Amino acid sequence: MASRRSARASRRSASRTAPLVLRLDADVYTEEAIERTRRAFAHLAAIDLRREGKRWAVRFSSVDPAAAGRLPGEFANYALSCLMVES
Amino acid sequence: MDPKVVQKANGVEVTLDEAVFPRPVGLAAAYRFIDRCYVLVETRPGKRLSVRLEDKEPAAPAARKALAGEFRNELLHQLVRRQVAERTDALRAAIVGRALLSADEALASEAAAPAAAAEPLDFQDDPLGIAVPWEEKYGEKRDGKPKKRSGKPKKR
Repeated sequence: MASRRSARASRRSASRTAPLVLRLDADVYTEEAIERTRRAFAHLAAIDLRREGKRWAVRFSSVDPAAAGRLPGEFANYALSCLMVES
Repeated sequence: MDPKVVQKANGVEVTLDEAVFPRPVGLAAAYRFIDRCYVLVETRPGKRLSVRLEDKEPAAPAARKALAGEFRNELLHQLVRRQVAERTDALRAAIVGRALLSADEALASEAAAPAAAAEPLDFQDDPLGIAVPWEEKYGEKRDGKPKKRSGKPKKR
């Protein structure tokens, strides 16, 4: 409980710079895999998912500063693992 | 040469032909590297797949070259694995089917029932008279005929 509160607090204090964006090929990554990943990472940032042509644009805002550097990469890795589980 | 490897500032990009390495093979190989790299898979024109392996920790160029080599080896490994899996598909299905059949108690007892019905013999029964001593069977002749015994041997 305390850790959740501290995560929320750190997210609130996260810098308001340009949001991190990760673009994933929609031909490779399924919506189900990305949605599942989004739910798994929801405690680390506010994550917005949109389709932009042949890609999924994943926007991270209010990111936990401790995870900011690794977040897009780990998100992509998790999405890949979800993809493997689905197949 | 396929797959094509390009060194990047923070990793390597490997482009492979899906006609040689099908997409599931490329994805399975890429998946094996998620503990060491950030992996991003993208399609490229001409049925090609690009796998970008970005370092989680800063790495020397030699280490990146080795990483690309390992990835290519892994591609081959996954390709062979897939081919073996396809070739042994029917055998695996038969083994699993048999295992499931034997795990089902009703089916297993049904299969064993005819065998039990065909053999109602007690271990003491001797229908062929094998346990009868030779002397008893042929030794004593009273009225010119050998003494006959029932199938059951003497209890001692």
